[in-house]
Amino acid sequence: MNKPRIRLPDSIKVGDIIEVKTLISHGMETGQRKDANAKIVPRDIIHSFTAMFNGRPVFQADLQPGISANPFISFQMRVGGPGEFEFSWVDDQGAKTVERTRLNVV
Amino acid sequence: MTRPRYLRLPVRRSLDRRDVIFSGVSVWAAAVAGPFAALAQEKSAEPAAWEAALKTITGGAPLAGGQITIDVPEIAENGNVVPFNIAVDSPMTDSDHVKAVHLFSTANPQPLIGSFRFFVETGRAVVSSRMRLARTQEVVALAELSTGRFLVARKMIKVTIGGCGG
Repeated sequence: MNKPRIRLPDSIKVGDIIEVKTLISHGMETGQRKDANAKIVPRDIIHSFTAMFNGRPVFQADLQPGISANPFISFQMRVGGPGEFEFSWVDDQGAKTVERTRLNVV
Repeated sequence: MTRPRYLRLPVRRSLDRRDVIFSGVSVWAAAVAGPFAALAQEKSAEPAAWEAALKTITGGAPLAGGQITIDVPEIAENGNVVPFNIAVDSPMTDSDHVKAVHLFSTANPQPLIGSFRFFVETGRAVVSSRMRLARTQEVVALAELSTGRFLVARKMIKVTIGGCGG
């Protein structure tokens, strides 16, 4: 998995509702597809995404093969103050990618 | 990233035909449902896979319409990447909040597309992502509330090129 991309709005104020956009590269192999030798390509997807803010969960997703490759996931959140996000993605191989992003308020 | 078109705020709908179907699934509903008639008729025979999957979450509890909107393109040219946005109108308080939203496909090999969990501190129950759709079909969004209620919304999507490798 490559370095994920996180997008927060510019100039966030306390009380704002913000949209947090995340994107990560992953083939999200469904386990339905056959290769050139008609053998099923085993499933390998990111099955879990978690967003924590200041150590508390703010959003969590259980993904199935019906989610597109290179999963884009966005959610909304009310801003109570500054802090740090910790995003994590876990795939079927057990590979975990963690990304931290600072949320600053003006 | 520029702001894609599908991320626009969902429009609140008043009670409509979909809500009516869910408020009382019956032969009568099938008769008046028009485009949904075929789906309603399936209920009389074996329940469809997506209905069974939905029931494992609801336990057969009644479903209500309204308060939940699902925003998808009417026509998806590429079934591999179909954007969706689901928003639930909720006060998000300790006593009344959205615990989770589940998205179902009615015609993919696997009915459940994803489950998204929300928290009181988050203050909102809105999620956007992209899904694969094998062919033209309806998708169904189910919201699980802390009050024990369940809300549903469904949308028909025309898929030009299917997204499950053929």
